[in-house]
Amino acid sequence: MPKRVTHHHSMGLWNHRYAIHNLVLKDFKVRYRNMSLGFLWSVINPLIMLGVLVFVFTYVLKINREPYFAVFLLIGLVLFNFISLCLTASTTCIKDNSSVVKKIIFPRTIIPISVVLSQVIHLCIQLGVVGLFIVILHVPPSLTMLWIPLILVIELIFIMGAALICSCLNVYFRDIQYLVESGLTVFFWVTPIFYPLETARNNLPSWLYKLYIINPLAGCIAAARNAILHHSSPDIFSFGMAIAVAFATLGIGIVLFNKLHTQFADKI
Amino acid sequence: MMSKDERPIILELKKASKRYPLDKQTPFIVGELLQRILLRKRRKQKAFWALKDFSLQVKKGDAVGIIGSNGAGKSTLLSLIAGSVFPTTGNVRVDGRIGALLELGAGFHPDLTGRENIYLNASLLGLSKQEIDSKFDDILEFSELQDFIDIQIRNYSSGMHVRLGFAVAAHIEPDIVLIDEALSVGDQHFQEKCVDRILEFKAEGKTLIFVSHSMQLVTLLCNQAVWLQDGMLHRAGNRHGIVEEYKEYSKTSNGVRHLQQA
Repeated sequence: MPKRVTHHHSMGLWNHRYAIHNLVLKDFKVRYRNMSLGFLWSVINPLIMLGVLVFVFTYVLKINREPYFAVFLLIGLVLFNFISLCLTASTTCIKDNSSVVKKIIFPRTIIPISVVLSQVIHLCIQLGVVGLFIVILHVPPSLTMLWIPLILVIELIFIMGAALICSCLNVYFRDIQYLVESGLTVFFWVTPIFYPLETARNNLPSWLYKLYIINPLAGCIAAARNAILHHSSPDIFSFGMAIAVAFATLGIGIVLFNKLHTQFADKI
Repeated sequence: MMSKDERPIILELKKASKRYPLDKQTPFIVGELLQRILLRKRRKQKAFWALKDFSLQVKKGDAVGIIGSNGAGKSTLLSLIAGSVFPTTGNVRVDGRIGALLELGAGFHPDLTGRENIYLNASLLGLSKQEIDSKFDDILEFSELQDFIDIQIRNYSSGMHVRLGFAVAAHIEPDIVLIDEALSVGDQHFQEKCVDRILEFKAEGKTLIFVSHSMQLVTLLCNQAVWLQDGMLHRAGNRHGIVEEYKEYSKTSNGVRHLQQA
């Protein structure tokens, strides 16, 4: 198919880095302009979740066997929270920015990219909370903690791909935003957040476990817990799977988005 | 057209068409699938060609007025040139940065202040922070919104919106300036200021695409004219003949006659 539109001024992502910066800033400002606690909410949210889960597991169910249970839970919660916020926000992001999409020509990908990046700010704040708990609870430091950046990058790559897919599909089918909503609930339970990955591996039949491990967040959370709490390197099978799925998702996302973006202005 | 022409072609549309489905609703997929499987028939999609097989070449420095009655495809044409809308068939080639002033607001975010919108808007058009910083004072002065620049755009009047939009579009150093009816919103003083600015653009050798119902403005600003009718090119070329002919046509066409009788 011949190229439909050729614009000879710079349309590269790098040329639009300042636009990405401004979009991230916009997300932050618009979100917090009318809140009195502002960004503190991104600290309060996981802490409330943590409090409830610690209460249920230590006092109601009495099955808290992990040595640093709060840190164990927080790692799962923070990594899940990140993907949950990213996908919720990015699914509607093209529609939310319809005023600019309809009027200005720029590489459309910078919208979902900036949505995800603005959630990275929240992730950093929440990682600070994890760090705080590590210090308070005297989790012994270890060199394996150096795996954490790589684990986060893998999660980010997966999220980026998923965000591209959800954001462009939702322009065509508004059903996607409801699908994502209930999908995230399912996702919460099939991700090792308040149980270790080993539980799933031991209890599920092996074919079902292979299906389970396709969820890249499972490999990422298990790897992060290994690195921080068990002082070991990531498990090759589960983390390797996470890497493969993350890159595949990003690839699909880029192809799909580039196919569908030409009709955005007509559909919103 | 013109005789000496060695000027480069800055904008070219080749048999560009734009089709819009008439039923905008997403079909209920369950019903759709049942129909397809059980009755083996596909629902026919009604469509409307807003622009059909439209070809045009614009040379650098030309000022083209686009005229035609409501629904003739003028705004679709501008959106295609601006690049926010893609042609269904055919292609569009643009060599340079476009400063577009399409309808109101040119893509502002209501929750951001005027200042934040200037930065967001200009950066989306590909400008760096330094470039915007250096132009900010000019933009502000041109818009005459000094007292309101730090309040949210949602509180702006439509006139203020247009002033800000025009100020940004006029200062991003566009190679091609696109103007939709927007000029008619500002007050007399601002309109004159915009016309002055457009004349300046022309003096600098920039290209202008101007959609208007005001034959007076088209005559004043443009050297070329394109007359659209029902999504198709009716006439194009030097503006003199075309503007006159269009005036004649408007007078005799039914709608106007009705108005005159009333």
